[in-house]
Amino acid sequence: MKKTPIKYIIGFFAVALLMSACDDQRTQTITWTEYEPVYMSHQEFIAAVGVSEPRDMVEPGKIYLYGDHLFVNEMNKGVHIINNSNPSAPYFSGFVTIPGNRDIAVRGDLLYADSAGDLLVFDISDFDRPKLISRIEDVFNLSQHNLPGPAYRIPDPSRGIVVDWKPVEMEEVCHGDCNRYGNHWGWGFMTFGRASSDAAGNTGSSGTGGSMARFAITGDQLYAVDWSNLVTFDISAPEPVKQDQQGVGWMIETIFPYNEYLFIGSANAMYIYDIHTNPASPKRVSVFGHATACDPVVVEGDYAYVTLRDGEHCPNVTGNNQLEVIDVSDLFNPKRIGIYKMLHPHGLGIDNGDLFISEGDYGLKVMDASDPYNVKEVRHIQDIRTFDVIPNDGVLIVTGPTGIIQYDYSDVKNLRELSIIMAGKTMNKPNL
Amino acid sequence: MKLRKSILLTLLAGVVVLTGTAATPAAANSGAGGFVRQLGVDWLAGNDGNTLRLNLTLGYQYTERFSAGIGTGYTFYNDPVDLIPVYLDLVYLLGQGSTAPFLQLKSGYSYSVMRGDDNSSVRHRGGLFMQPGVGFRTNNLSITTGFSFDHASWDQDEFFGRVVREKVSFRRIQLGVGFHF
Repeated sequence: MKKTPIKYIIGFFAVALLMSACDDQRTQTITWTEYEPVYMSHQEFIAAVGVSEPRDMVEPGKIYLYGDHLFVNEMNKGVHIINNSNPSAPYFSGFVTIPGNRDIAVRGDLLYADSAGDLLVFDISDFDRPKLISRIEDVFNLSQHNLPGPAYRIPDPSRGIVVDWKPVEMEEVCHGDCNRYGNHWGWGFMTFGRASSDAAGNTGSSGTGGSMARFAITGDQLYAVDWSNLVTFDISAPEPVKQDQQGVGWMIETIFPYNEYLFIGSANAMYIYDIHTNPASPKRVSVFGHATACDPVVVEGDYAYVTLRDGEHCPNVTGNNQLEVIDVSDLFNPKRIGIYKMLHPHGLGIDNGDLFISEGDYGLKVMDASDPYNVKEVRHIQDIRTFDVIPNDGVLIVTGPTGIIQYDYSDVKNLRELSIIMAGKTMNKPNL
Repeated sequence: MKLRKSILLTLLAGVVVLTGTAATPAAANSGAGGFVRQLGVDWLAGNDGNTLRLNLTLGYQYTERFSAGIGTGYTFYNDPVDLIPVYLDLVYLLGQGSTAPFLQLKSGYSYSVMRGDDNSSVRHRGGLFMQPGVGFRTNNLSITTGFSFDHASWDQDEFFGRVVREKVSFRRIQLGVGFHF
């Protein structure tokens, strides 16, 4: 029987249809957060500084321990003052409103705090009534480190001073493959400010900050790091005097003073500076490079402990989450002596071989670093979220997005919880 | 990679078990009743790539023309996930005798397995699996052709909180051969 042409035509179209349906269908959805500047006029910015009644802790940032008091940064809003004379029953004693504040340090009766690009000094001889006594304007370059992520809009100076950043959720849906590293990066102001900041080791009459500090006080000098600079202030008088500013590297994150040296953590290196020869102008001793990641550092004895982590604002392309132990007995030639896998390490602290590491959403790790060549995990507390730690004289202060927890670590194998200051709550002075 | 090997070993073990324990020999075209066991391999061809799927089916011949069974397999998409389909297999013979054409529908769910050497995709999931087709069966051998749909998605976390979610519908022409035992 003769075949009809219609069969061939149908067959041809059937095959064509089938083959055209053989393309994989791909949809790529990219979500991310950009940040829109929140402005304040210069007049409002100046007038906003003041002391107020205790208020709820909403977004705790850096902490600083000074004597019996805890100073807790409320991100971009100010500083909570907490009476911690009894770590089992801390209470809020006041709040200092400081727009654009992220970093704090204390020496004597003076509280140093940044306020956007300014450095403020408060007299805290009366902890309940701090007084602003000095303001140095425009000493910090905030174009980078205060922005917690890509900017949604370029800051417009004509609209005022940027005191905060409002998140804007972004989404891009592409059929096929988006241009992954193309246009969805806001205006390019990438920064790492949230994962950085305040104080450092205990030096003289100053207090103790965490490992994520950007401010450090030793002797008569306040050292502060921003995105790329190390700035030195003479604080021998209540009115600070800027003495020195020098470029360090890029993505400078933390500063930790130890003995007569500064250990500065950046995204891809640990810098060591000599502050003994000339405290007014630190001199670089050496640079120890490492994989690109967020990296706070603490030091004890001849050994530095650095945590590296990925994610968040840290361009860690290698996916490293680890603790590195570095022999700094020869400061001119630091050597790595150990690497230990971690989950997502943030700030850390060490006291006489007891090493405490905040693991972000994965809790807190207690390590035995009595032998720096063989650091061992002693305990892992998993049901808390942590950002930074300060071990101080038997009391471990642990900060995180949900608040502050204090432990008695006289027996590190059996940490005893002393108190919890929950975010979103104010703890009032107990009635005696 | 270890997971993939484990799955393949499990499939192999399944073959051995089925071969050794089935009470009734395969009754592919010999009337109603009896188990239908098939081990097969599919060639999945598409404009975005070609790959293989191993599959194993255990079914029952309910009538002279109709059999149904359940099956599983392993599909080597490597993109960055591989898929493990778990499906219902329906077969309707269009003729009688030792050789006959048939219609077939496999439908179920594909579970995702992360490729061993990909560390960047942190969450992944499978999706609907469907494969309509036609074939021709002899006593111990069948050949099939059809259209294979597989769905999968995975997320990648990047710095600055970026999350990249990729959804893929794998659409491939299927050419397969199966051995009955």
